[in-house]
Amino acid sequence: MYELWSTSSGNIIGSYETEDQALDVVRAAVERYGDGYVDDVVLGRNGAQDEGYLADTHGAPPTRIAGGRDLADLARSRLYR
Amino acid sequence: MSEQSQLPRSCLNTANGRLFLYRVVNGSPPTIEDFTSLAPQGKPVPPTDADAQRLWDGISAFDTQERVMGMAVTYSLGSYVSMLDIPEEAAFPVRVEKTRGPGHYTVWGDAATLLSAVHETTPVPPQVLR
Repeated sequence: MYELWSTSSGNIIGSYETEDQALDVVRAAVERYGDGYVDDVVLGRNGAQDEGYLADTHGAPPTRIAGGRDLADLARSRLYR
Repeated sequence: MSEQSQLPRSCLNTANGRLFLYRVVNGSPPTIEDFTSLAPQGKPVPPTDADAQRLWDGISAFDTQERVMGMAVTYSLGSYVSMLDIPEEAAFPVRVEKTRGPGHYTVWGDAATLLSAVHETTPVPPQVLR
């Protein structure tokens, strides 16, 4: 499970099955509102989806993938892979 | 709070008709800003995420303190965690729904009401702040 977080508010913006789905949402938001949209946004991976029930039960820590302008750049780079 | 009757009770720390959820906050005691959703902050909904539209005026909370502390550290969300003690009474104007990933709940309610539901606030321990 991949999650977009608003770090300034402590709220989840969206949850997605794949990283590409999350980056599609980022790219669309940046295209509509500008790079500033992701200044307080972080993309992370919650290990439970890929590692199964036990990983979640035992509190596998989430992983930070990218945030801020780096996240915008990552979303754009995936478009042209 | 009709949605609460549909929640997976085994996943929640419920006792005596109360619902306990955990949320990252920025200080102790927390302030009303710690319980503000994305909607009143003026952040627009991502244009291609239909699910986000429905949840935009709720706040994120989790079922365990451990889980939310992991989120707080990894994403730099805040240095404290508040436990919300939500009465399961129709008169208490808060709505809770299981949403998104593991252990995540969306809570809807006036920010002042949510602040009044704070039972305790604890710092994220140094061993978690890696």
